Amino acid sequence: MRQRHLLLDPRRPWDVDKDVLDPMYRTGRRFWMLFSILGGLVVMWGAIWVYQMNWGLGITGLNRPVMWALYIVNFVYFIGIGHAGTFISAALRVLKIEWRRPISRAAETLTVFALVAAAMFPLVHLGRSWKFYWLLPIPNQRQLWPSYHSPLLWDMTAILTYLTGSILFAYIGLLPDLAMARDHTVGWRHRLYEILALGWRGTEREWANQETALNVFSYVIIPVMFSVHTIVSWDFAMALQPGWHSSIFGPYFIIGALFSGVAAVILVLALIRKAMHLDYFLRDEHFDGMGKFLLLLSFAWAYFYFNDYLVAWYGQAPVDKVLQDLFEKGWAAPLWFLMLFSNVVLPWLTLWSRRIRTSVPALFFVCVFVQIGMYIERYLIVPTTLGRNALPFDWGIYIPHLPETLITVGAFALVGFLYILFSRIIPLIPVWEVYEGQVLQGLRRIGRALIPTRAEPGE
Amino acid sequence: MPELPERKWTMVVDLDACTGCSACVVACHTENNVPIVGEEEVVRGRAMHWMRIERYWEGEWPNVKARYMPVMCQQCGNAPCEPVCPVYATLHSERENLNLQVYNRCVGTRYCQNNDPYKVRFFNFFDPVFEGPLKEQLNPDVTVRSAGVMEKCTFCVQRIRRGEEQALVENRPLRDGEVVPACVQACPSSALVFGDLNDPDSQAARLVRANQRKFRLLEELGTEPAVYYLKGSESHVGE
Amino acid sequence: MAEVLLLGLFHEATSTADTIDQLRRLGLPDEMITVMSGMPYRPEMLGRPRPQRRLGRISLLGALAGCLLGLFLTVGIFLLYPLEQGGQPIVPVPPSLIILFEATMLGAMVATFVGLLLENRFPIFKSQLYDPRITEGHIGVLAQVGAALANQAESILTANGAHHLHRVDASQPPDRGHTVFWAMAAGAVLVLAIGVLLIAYDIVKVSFPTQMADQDSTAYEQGPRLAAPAEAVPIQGPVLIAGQPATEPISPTVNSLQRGQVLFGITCAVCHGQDGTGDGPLSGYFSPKPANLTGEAVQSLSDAEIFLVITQGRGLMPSLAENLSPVERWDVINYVRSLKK
Repeated sequence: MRQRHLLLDPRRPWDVDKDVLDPMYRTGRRFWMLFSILGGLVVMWGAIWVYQMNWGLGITGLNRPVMWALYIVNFVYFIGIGHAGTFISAALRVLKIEWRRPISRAAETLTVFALVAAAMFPLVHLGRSWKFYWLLPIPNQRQLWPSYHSPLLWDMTAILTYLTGSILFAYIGLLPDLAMARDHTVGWRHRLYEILALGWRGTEREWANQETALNVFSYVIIPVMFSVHTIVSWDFAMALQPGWHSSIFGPYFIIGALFSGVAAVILVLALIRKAMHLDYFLRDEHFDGMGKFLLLLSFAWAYFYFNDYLVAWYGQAPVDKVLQDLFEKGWAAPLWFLMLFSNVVLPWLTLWSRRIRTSVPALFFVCVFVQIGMYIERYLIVPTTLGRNALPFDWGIYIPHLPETLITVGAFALVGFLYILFSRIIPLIPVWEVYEGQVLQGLRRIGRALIPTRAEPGE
Repeated sequence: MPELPERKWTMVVDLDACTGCSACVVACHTENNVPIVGEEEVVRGRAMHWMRIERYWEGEWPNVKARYMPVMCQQCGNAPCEPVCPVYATLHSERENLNLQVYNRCVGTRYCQNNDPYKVRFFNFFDPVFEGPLKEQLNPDVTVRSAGVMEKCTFCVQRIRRGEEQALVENRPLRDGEVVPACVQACPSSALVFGDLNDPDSQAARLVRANQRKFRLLEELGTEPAVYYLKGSESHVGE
Repeated sequence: MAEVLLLGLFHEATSTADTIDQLRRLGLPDEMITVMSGMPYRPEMLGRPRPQRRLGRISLLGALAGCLLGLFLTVGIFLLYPLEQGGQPIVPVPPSLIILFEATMLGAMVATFVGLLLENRFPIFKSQLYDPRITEGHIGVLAQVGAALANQAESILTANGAHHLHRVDASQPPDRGHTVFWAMAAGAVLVLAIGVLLIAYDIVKVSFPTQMADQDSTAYEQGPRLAAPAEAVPIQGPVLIAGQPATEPISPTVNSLQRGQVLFGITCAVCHGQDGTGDGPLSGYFSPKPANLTGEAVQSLSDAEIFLVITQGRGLMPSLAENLSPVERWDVINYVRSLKK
């Protein structure tokens, strides 16, 4: 029992603190190698962007009619990844699901960095990136403000709100642990944490305000999270493009985002558990819970996808039919079938089994396929669908060229780079939440059995 | 500043008279400083022809038939390309019922092209190159666009403006046929007619009024295009 | 009055609660006792009164402010700049609702964060009495007592099992650094906002380089052409092909030079001087002065170029096409060549 549940397995707080702080010091050869490789890819990303700004978007594979391609796919994909972190910290907190305690910060960090990578893509894909400030809600050149008729502006506002909210949410939850780090480090780390901890001492007033702030944030950031990916989906749904102009895009994208996001969080947790020896904190119960959640999301995704597909299939409108033929029999067929396999068949075949869910390598494998499947889904939605429209003379095919492929790689590297950098600076496990959970949970004997019981933390 | 009258600029394309000669395409290039992108770019799908001849082949060899129609920006009344621009680079001119494109405000998000069902918008993927003496041929009334900017047919708005200013200066109403876009001017078979639908005596209004042959492209989308096509006997598209 | 700060660390909650009870019975008001811990303890667990919670109200205020900002960004901007787009009404309701929602949420979140910092008096710059063991799971009880009760308070703490007792005789000065920090933060936001507005409303003019301001299509219109472009073939007037003489040149025979001298004296000497050095009677009226025809600058030009200059004029020099026929121009050119020093 103690082995299976983290919260029933309390240890001396000093040991727990050490378990979390020690990996942050470990910057051996492997770390620096990874750091340099990822850092180099990030520099390459920047260099290619500058090259593109100089020569024009013609170096990519964009054409008429496929005016949005890999950059927008990446944009949607990374925003999707950024959803799970908030869901795990905020929604599971509101629902009082206790196994969220050790995983919330690793997930939130992934959210923030994925959002940062995502937010760069609208700038990269602009024809005149240097005029991006015309999209900000300030009276720019000639006192002209931007136009809120446009879904792209709703996007900017929503992502700005979500990014700010996520960073602030993560920081507020981080304060007590920054104090813990401040108390147990020396040198430049001590100075850094001293500044960041803002003088936290853990007084009652501070904890009371902390609770209120986290509650407000949790309740506010959940609708924001839903709204962000809905608004991203409205970039497509507001267009008259066949295949996009569907009212189901809002919820469909949210579920897709959660799906790919939860899978990404599982991947990240598996990696940091191995790399930072966090076996004490991240146990089978966490992967089991996330695996169940993933299966549920796979059901939901299949439901929404089938909805969208069925309506088009039944109606047999010519342009919709052309798109469906493209997916089922055309050049996009291998991608389409791979997507269905990764998102539906594989999870449905594997995730019902508790053994697979608690086996980290197996779950890792399934989650990698989910990432592939969800990336293909966005790829089929953006450049592939744009190639077909009502006037066949203007059909086109998009072929990814080297610049945008390298920028995609660079974006993944950016997320990884920021993540490993911050894994050495901030404690990735919210120790105070684990404490709180361990104090509030206990074992009670009812009859012949020992039953875990839990006190309500917020009454 | 005296009030300019309301106009409803309309283009009428008689598909029976159109021979598909593409003189309109070339005239538009010349008038509006549209760059020549080169063969390679056209193969990649980036041809920039504000006015293009859409051509569909029907049938099997040797019984092949070509159906073609000139397609330019339809200057929609309810343009789907307008509200999606985040920086107000594409707007509607209420007075003239024209869809305006402001080149120096465009940041190049390309949403307008995605939302455009006629795909008549063109993006400058590279900086346009006008080599040597071709620079002499550029029209000083029209901006030469840089890379990253969207452009499209404007019904030769520079000619419209010049015509209206002339009429204003001379204190007389604008006459039908005084404002002639480049494509209309170049068409050898007079298949293109341009005029103000608000003027009941204009040639365009007379052609459109109670004409059984008329149709508009993708009308069912509710875009209210300002271009009327008159069905040809055999050569039309978009029935 | 001398103040003493006492900090005692306890292992668990029960002894902490007992200590607090006894301190209260000693006469210490609740505000003078501070409990610090590494995880949140409910006030009931330690027998403490519930702390005042004003943060909720601050969040609501922030939400309201965000809502107003959203209203400005949507309804305000749409009414300020009524630009028609796509048949939508000038103030479209659904997009406005979306932005209102986002702005309200943003306002709530930012206000909560700022309120949290202000309520906790963060960031704290002054030094405070604290023990790092608190983040190792100990509970700290900090009592602020007058000198008279200090020893009794200390004995209560030790009696209940406090380990690591700190005693500091000090008064609590106000946190100046905190005030300075917030003043600077507010100042920075204000400066940024004003800076943006100054630039946006052209009060401070910043010239933005923009590619499309310099147009190839209008460049030639800016000022008169000095020479026909290379490879251009004009359709009216003399055929002037750059790099080639327009009409057949005349060889510099003695007759040509003689004729040229006479024509030079009639047409050119007035400005360029009898000997071509640019000091003719009228030269004083020109700035820049007429060219020195004997110098390197003019002599290095090709014959065709000089022919063009005579035909079209250059700068202040007028065209002499009406004064000299093409043959006569060649005579003058031959004469000018002979003037070379």
